[in-house]
Amino acid sequence: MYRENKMNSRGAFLKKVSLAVVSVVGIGFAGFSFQKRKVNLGFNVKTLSDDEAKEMARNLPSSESNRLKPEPPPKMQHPSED
Amino acid sequence: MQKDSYDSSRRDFLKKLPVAITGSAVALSSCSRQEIDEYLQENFRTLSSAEKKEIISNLEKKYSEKYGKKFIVSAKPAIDNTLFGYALDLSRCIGCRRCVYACVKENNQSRDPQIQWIQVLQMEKDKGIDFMHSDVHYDPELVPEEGYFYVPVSCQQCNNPPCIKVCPTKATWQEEDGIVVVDYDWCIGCRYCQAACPYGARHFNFGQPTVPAEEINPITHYLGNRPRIKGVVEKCTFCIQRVREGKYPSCVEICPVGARKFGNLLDPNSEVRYILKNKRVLVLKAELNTQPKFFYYFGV
Amino acid sequence: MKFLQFFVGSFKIISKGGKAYYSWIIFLFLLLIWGGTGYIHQIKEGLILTNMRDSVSWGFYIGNFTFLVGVAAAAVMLVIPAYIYNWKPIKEIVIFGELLAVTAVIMAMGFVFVDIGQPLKFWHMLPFVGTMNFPSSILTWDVFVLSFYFLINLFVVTYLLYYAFIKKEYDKSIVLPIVLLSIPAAVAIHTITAFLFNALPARPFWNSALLAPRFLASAFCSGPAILIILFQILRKTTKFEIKDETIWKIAELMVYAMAINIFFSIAEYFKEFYSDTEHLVFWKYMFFGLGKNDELVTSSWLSVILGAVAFFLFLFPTTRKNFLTLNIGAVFIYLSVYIEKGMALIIPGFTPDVLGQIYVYYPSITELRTTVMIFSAGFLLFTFLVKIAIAIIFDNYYLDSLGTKKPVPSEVERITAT
Repeated sequence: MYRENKMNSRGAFLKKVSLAVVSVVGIGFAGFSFQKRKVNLGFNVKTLSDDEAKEMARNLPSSESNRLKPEPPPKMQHPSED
Repeated sequence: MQKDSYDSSRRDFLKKLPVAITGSAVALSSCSRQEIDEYLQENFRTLSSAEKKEIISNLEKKYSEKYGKKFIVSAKPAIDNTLFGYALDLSRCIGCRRCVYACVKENNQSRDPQIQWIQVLQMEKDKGIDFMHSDVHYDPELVPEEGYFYVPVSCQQCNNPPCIKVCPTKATWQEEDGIVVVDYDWCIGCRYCQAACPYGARHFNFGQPTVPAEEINPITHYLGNRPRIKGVVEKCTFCIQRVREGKYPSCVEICPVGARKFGNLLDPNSEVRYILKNKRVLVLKAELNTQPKFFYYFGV
Repeated sequence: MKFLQFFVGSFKIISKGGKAYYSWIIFLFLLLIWGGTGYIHQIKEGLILTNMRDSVSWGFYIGNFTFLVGVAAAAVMLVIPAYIYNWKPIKEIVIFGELLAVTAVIMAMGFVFVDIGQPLKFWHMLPFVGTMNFPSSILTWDVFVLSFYFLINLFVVTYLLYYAFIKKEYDKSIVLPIVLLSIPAAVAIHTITAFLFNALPARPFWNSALLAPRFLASAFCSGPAILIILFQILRKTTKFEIKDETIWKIAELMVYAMAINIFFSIAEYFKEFYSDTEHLVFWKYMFFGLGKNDELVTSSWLSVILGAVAFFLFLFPTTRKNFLTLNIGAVFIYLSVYIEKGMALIIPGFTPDVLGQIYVYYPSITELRTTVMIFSAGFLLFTFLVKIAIAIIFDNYYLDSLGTKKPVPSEVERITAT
């Protein structure tokens, strides 16, 4: 009983699939393009590359004079015991 | 014929609908009126100012009763022409974690289960900023330790925040002054934002948050440090309750070495702008294009 | 009124059965209660009873959700070859596939529901009543496609069974387009579920363009595996007819899916391991462990090995056409994909976390109990649905059976009663 419909349904199927794909992609595209894009800060920031940052970290002076006792570390995230 | 039977069964269903509604109403009426109102409360941004007022006065009453202190819940909006920014001097930070606990106290973070908005990472000087070789659990007698430097990480207040993009309910958003906030009553606790945040800045109330009454800070903001409920996400708000009143965030105030700077990015005379102008700065994970408003620099 | 009788009839079908049927139902109910009490505990205390924490903020629940979306998608995708090869019991394959899909979608949504911190506030993400963040949040897309998929499948099976129940020829021009529509919808639900993870540049482990294709390929392995076993059980216990050739054909198609799945996986492993960037750390945690943290290693390799063994069992015609080895292969590939989606997809995405810290996650007892609750509820629902479908399609249970006349005893009853 499905066989009679087979040829027709394939055409209908393809039509439906393409319609569905086009509309989904369309909605997505339209939706994202309407989203507010945040503007940049409006002034330039001089950035530091990873290598330069590494170099600067390496050259940090060690401050032996003013050391402090640190506050306690965060508690380990313990799994629940049940 | 066929259609008729469909229709009649639909009519049947429609007849039963009021019954179903009354039934659930009866079930709901076992809760107090206020509980129902709270359940049906809308997204903060869609509320009228009258509704906001009522909700806030109810909250103030509720919190005051619970903690035995007079509570203020502010809903002060952003000040015009303000975009808050933060700068942190890595050459000064000694990793003492004073900021972590000042933040916990100021912002009423749960003591047990423990929630801390600031995580201080200890990193090896030789490796530079390298998260995979960092440690939050360092606990020596004295800091700083030889060969290490410290990178405190909290919400980077991104200009292009991935957390907001993924939230299914619009329960989190960026305010006009650039602060990313959460409506605790609107968050459904799906934790998609936690998965999306590249800085681990979002924290979830897995259990009922607890703050001892004697330690609670009663000066609060609706979108900031008011007491939270179980099952929702929270995060650093640059101390929204303080900065909108012209004060510094509490981490800036407590820092014993003055490593933390804060100010208005739109004000060319502010301290952050001075740093951005005169120092070379870095943002964490710049490649992700989150555009943080939290800058790290080496002052010396 | 007839539609109401359809419900009454369905209820009568599921309330009657033999000893085996009742023991199965009671067994599932007991599991449901055991799991449900664990979940009630979780509602009271919060998600603190799970082992999820800020570092690993999603776990076993979301893994199960992902797996079940795959099952739902693959069950219906069997409709494609059924059409192409014009397999004989097309209607039956469609019906049982869609019943499985409906059940799997309900279970998948159940896993999301138990995972969220404020389950009663889920309406906040609905359109109109809440503030749905559409189209920005992929989670809202997932809600859309999953509910759409659920509704069309529910409609088709209800429609087909109802017309069989009232002994009327169903309207092909209604059913066929919807069945065909459900095929791209099936692709969509699993693709969008993959995009859910894919959309997070903060998690390099998931931020691979191959994620969605891998999801589809693995789902095409696990979904038909369930149906292969189900068809054999139904064939043995009911009048359900399916030729050996058809089952072998499904198995043959699964071989292609498995081969593609393995190929995709190798492509992914090659890219990660050969490039050896800082993003390799997640893969290292998964397959070799990081230092003393090797919690996931056993299950990751188990999944790979089970998948490989299943592939070879299905690849060679001698083992594919032997029902013992075929079934072993089906169980293996099912387990392989289940482990992969349940644990090996989610956990390495969070370990180490974004700040490089390691939190060791494994499901807690509460998580296991809640999972058992959803699975037993799903099995219960599926048992009922299949029983109704069998009674109506094969045992000639229809409108008049409801009347004074004694209904024809179903095949299952006769078999299980003896």
